[in-house]
Formats: sequence, C-alpha cells, structure tokens
Amino acid sequence: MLLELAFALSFHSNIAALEKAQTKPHEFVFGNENEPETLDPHKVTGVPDNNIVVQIFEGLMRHGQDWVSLMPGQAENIPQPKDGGKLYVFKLRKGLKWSDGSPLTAKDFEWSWLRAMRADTMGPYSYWLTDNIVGAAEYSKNPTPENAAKVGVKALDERSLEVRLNKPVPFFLHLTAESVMFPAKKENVEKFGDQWTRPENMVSNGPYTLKEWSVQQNIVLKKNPQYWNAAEVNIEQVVALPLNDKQTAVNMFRQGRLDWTGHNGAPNALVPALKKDPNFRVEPAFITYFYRFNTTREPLNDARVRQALALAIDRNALVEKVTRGGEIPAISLVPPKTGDYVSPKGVVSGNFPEDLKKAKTLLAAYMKEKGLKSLRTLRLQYDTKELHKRIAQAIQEMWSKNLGITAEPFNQEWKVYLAAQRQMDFDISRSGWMGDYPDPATFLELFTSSSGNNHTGYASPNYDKLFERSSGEVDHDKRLKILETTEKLLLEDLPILPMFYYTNFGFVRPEVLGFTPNLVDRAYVMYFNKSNK
Amino acid sequence: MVKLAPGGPFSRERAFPPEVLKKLEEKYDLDKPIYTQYWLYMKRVVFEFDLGPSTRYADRSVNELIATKVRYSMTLGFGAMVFALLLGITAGLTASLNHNKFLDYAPMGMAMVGVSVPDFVMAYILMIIFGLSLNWLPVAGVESWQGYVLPCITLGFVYAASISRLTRGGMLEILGQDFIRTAKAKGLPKHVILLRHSLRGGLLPLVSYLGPASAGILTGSIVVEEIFLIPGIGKLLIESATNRDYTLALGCVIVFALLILVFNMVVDLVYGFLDPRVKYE
Repeated sequence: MLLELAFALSFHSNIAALEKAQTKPHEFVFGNENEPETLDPHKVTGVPDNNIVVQIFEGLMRHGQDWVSLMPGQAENIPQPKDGGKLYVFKLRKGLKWSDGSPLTAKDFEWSWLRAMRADTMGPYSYWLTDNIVGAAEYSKNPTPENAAKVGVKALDERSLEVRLNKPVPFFLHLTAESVMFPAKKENVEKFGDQWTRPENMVSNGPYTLKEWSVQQNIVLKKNPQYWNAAEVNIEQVVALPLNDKQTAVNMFRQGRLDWTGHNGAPNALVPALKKDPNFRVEPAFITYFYRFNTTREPLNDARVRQALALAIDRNALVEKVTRGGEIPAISLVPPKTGDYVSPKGVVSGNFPEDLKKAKTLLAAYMKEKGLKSLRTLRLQYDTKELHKRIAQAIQEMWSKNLGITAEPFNQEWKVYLAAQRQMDFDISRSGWMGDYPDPATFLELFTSSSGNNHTGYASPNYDKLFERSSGEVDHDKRLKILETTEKLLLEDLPILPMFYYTNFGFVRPEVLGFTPNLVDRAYVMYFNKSNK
Repeated sequence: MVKLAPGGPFSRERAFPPEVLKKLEEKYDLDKPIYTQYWLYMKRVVFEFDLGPSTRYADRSVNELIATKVRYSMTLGFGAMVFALLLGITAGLTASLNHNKFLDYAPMGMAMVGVSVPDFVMAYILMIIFGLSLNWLPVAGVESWQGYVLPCITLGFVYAASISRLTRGGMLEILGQDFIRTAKAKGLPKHVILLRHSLRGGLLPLVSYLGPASAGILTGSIVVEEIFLIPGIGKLLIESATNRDYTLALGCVIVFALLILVFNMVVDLVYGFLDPRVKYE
C-alpha cells in the first residue's frame, strides 16, 4: 500500500515524461489481464480469451468498437426475423475465404454451431445455443446423426444459413457476434484435435491470424490478407501480453512499450492519482457490484430485513471514500447504457437520509413481529482482494451505525469462496456480474429460479413468469416494459443488494486512433489506426 | 493435498452447464474415486514421464508447459546466482582484507540492507531508478537479455549479501591461521597468499550455503517472475495453485523438488573437491 503510494507520487511528478512509443507504427501492443485458457472460439470462457478470439475470428454479425452497435460481419446484411421472431435466414458475403485461402460457406457455420452446442466440446457458453436453437439441447447430450438432422441450423446453399429458434430471442443477433457462434474449419479441427488452436495448425476467418502463442509470454497476431474487409484494416500486427500485475502494466506503459494497458490496467489504489493524466481514462463498465443474500436463512428470508440492509447504505460515500475508481452508485441490477433500457426504481431511492428512515421502520416492524431485541450476527464473505475487504468493512460500519446490526466480514480464497457461494454456505456473499451481450436479459436471467448462477435461494414464480414473457415478446418497446416490471420486482424483493457499477480504466497512447472505450473494455483492433506523431 | 482445498478446476464464477461439467470431469478422471485418480496419475508419471493434461490450459499438456518454461526460470536463477557470487565474494574479500576499516564497514552495511529488504520492494526500487527514471533497462519482459538484468539483480541481491558476510567470516578465520602467517613470513606476494592459500579454505562455509541458496533462488523466483513478467515455472506454479489446476501444480512441484535435489548434490560434490577433509568412497 505504502509502496503503491510512493509509486503514485513518482508518477505524479513525472506525468509529462511519458517515453516515446517503442511499439512500431503499425503495431498494437496491449496488456491482456491473464493468459487465455484457450483460443478455441467454442470453448472460450473469459475476457482474456475473448480479447484474442474476436481479432482472429468473425461471426455472422460483428460489433462496432462501442460493442453495442451491430453490423454485418460474415453475413452481407442484418436479416429480419420471420415467423414471429423464431426464424432467421443469413446470407453470407460473396467470396468469403478462410485464412488459408479455401472458401468459407454456410456449411462451415452449420458444422461449427453443431460442434459448439455439443456437451463433449466442453464449452461453457454452449447453453447460448442449446437454450435457443430447435433440437440443440437434445443433440448436445446425444450427438447422433439423427439428432443432428433435427437441429434448427441448416445450410440451404453455399451462402444461405437458416436458423430456427425455440422461442423468439430478441438479442439473438448480438449472440452471433460473440465467440461461441464463430466458425471453425472442420478439416483442421478434425485433423489436429486439441492442437488445432496452435499457430501452425490454426486457420481462421477474422481480420487477423494467429502468428505466435507462447504461454505466459505473448501472443502475436498478424493481418489476414484473406479477410473480406482487409483493405480497411490498418494495424498490421497485434501483440498481447499477459499482464497480471497491474503495476507492471503501468510501468511498461510509461516506458512506451504498451499502446494500451488493457482491462483495468492499473492498481485500484492509484486510480484517483492517475485520473489527472490525459492518457488515463475511466469509463462505465458493464459490471454490477452487489451482495447476495442467502434468502433461505433467518433473518434474511424476510424481505423487510433485506430491504432494511439495502436501504441503510450510503452508496455515494462508498464510491467517493472507499472504492475511489469513479464507480457509479447502483440502485438497480442492470447497469446504465444498456441499449435504450432504463432500470426502474425499487425500494431503494438513492436518497440516503430518506432511505435510512424507511430502513429503520422496516427493521423495527420485523423485530416487533418476531419479538426480537437484536438480530444475530451476519457473516459476510468476500474473496481475497484489498478492495473487497475495504468495502466489507465500510458496509459493516454502516450497518452497525445505522441499524445496530452486527456483520462479520470474513475473507475466503477465490475457489473456496466460489464453492461456498455455490453450496449456499453464507449469509451474505460479495458478488459481481459482467453482462455477456448488450441487453438487460443478460443480468435479469441470473435470478430466475432455474439459473445456474442464482445462488441466493430466490425463487419467485412471478419473476420467472415475467422473464419468460419478456423473451416471448417480439415488439421491442413492449419487451423493455416487461423487463422493467421484472427488474422492479427484483428490486422490491431484493435477494441482492446492488452497490455500484464498476468502471473500466487504463492508459491508452495518444497515437492510437479509433479507440473508443466500451462497456466490456474490449479492443476491436481492426477499427484502429495510429498517427505517426 | 491439493485436493483438500475446496473448489475444483472447473468451479468458476459462471457455472458450466451440467452436461458440460460432466464431460470435463470425465476427461480429467475427476469423476473417479480419489485412490483411482492417484493410481492413474502415478502410473502415468512414473512409467511414461507424462505429467498429464493441464485442466486450465485446455489444449496443452503439463509436460509441454513445463518444458517450454523451465529455461526462463533456469536463466533467471543462473543469472541471479552468478550476480550474487560475483558481488558477494568481491564484497566479502574487500571487507576481510580491510578488517575494521571503511572498506569493511561499507560493504557490510550494504549487506545488512540487502538481507533486510524484501525482494518485491527491491524490484520496485530498481524499476523506478533504472527503468522509469533513467530508462536504461526494460521494466518487464524478457524479449532481450537486458530484460534479465533487473530481475537477476533483484533476486541475487539478498544472496549476495549473505555470501559477502560468509566470505568475510570465512576469510577472516583463515587469514588469522598459522599457515598464512608462514606464507607471509616466506615473503610471498599478497595476491598469491590470497588466491592460492586462503581462498580455498575461506570459501568453504560459502559452498555449503550454496545448496540452500539455490533452492531459495528457485522459490524466490516465483515472486520475481510475476513482477517482471518472466514466463517461468514459478509463475506457472502460482497460477496453477489458485486455479486448482491439479496436474500442473503437481508437475511444477515435482520439477522444483528435482531441481533442489540436483543442486544440493552438486554442492556436496563441489565441497568434496574443495575440502580435502571430505572424501567420497
């Protein structure tokens, strides 16, 4: 901590002294938080994997650098859904090629999507296909040729792909712009097995191809001349470094050896000091920070107690004095800027003095009814990180001061914490969620009773029904209204305590053009250029 | 023991779909009872020298990961050791030859600092001075040999400190002995006395220290590799433990243990060569 401060000071006096770029004019070097687990698009799990895969592959649709806008990728236009939102026919661009020069056809997409949905491909996002596509769930478990024939993905000819869905999925096109829906070349996957993602074996279809991959050292991508839009790709080479240590990322940036420090590329404690640097940027992220309540345990099984706990927190003080990374206080689950969706207000109004009064009333009513003098001590688990610890301590103090409730924060190692959360072995558990696609459903789906990521014991038939109805609604505005009602219910029942929306922050070199920050802190390098200053 | 820690390689914040999880467990034998897992693992390791597939790096085997990473750790360790020996012995000799003078106090003062400052603090101090202020050396990464300079100094400095103290102690003891006085009386030049007569004996305590020191440098490299972005096995080990990558963690531990054994054996052999009192039969 002291050391970090010393560092902040040394930068402070040195802000003008950013070294000349040592990266080449047509090269983009960035810090990738971690070493990717895999570069197989159908198996990717995390942010570091995606940061690479979206450069080397492309789906039917693709996202703009803002990650919210959608444009045609391998398909030549954005198809209109038919059959009440359950049928899409994609038309591929003319003359599409794999990076080895062989033609890419609708058959490749058909084969790839079937592969992506199979359980034995072992991809964590396979459920995007199995939940939505006709016959996919059956084929996933039992991949026989008969079941394959029943799957609603068909190449009608070289360039047409027909997709039939179980139900209308309003955000389906966004999914086709993400890794699990990217194509892989059948011949290479079958010939090389697990090794097909090695640079020497990999064939891809995106703006870049994989040139080198050396674990925990670097990943080098080079421009793919076969890409349909190669003429518009300016950056010739992309280098990703696995920079786990954020201080190292900042240091390398200072030396001119990084163009972008990458996702949250600075130690949290330094953010307030670094904000003064013109090359440092802080932007809202698509991540909500919240606490989960275990709604199966006394006294948290009573909504009034959960509401009181959620009301008795001064969120502004929390982000200004504790987190200090420019976070935005949250009184809803879905972050702002999620398309044109606006979260409703629930029990918590965000006006703290008023909220606190309400909290006291609710708690008093509960205690009176139960004949209690005080509540039992609540155990608050968090995973090892300085930030989580400081937040937990602040919350402990707020509850104790405002409501007289004792909470006992305790630290768990990451995997232990995950196990406890999964087994519902906690009273209150620190949590966060990052959306997968720019739509409120990516957050609201979590607290349906059938969600594998619920972990609160919250099972509301009303909530489930509303959410189900929203996915069946084809009319965009009506659907958003239903989602609003769904979220309102959640914000009244409060199985969770929304606290703040995260921010993304990091350094970007002034020479890099076209880098607009987005909600998921992802770089689509194909849109970038570098000025030769 | 790795299995005692709660959570498994596939417990993630985002749950895997249940069918997928089942397939993953089958692939890595995690669905079998623990003694079967142990037997399968030992059979593979002992008879086939196969440390198994990594659970985190879906497409890579532990053998491959370790084989490509071990040279970075070895280069780092070797560089640190050479630095520690050069600096430590020079400082120790200087100090012993200038007993209780300024040139004794100065290196010993430095040594005191060296022993007391933890390596991660040292790393950042060096980075600020040579990387960020002077911009002579890269602060991270090992694309060129320059990249190794700061990590080797960081890692070697603590050992240089201990080595200089041991050298000084050993030399002072030898220099006070009768056969040195004889040599001086014979009128031999100072450097001959130093190099031929006293150095061999004076370095003995140092040699026995080198075994544990090599082990220390190896394990110390874990922190240094992380800070300086060196893709060595220390970094692999940390990661594998937090990821519950059972096979990779075990593989790294086995390699570390082997290396430590080898170093200790080499030290024992060297000891025999330097000290005529030790004989191997």
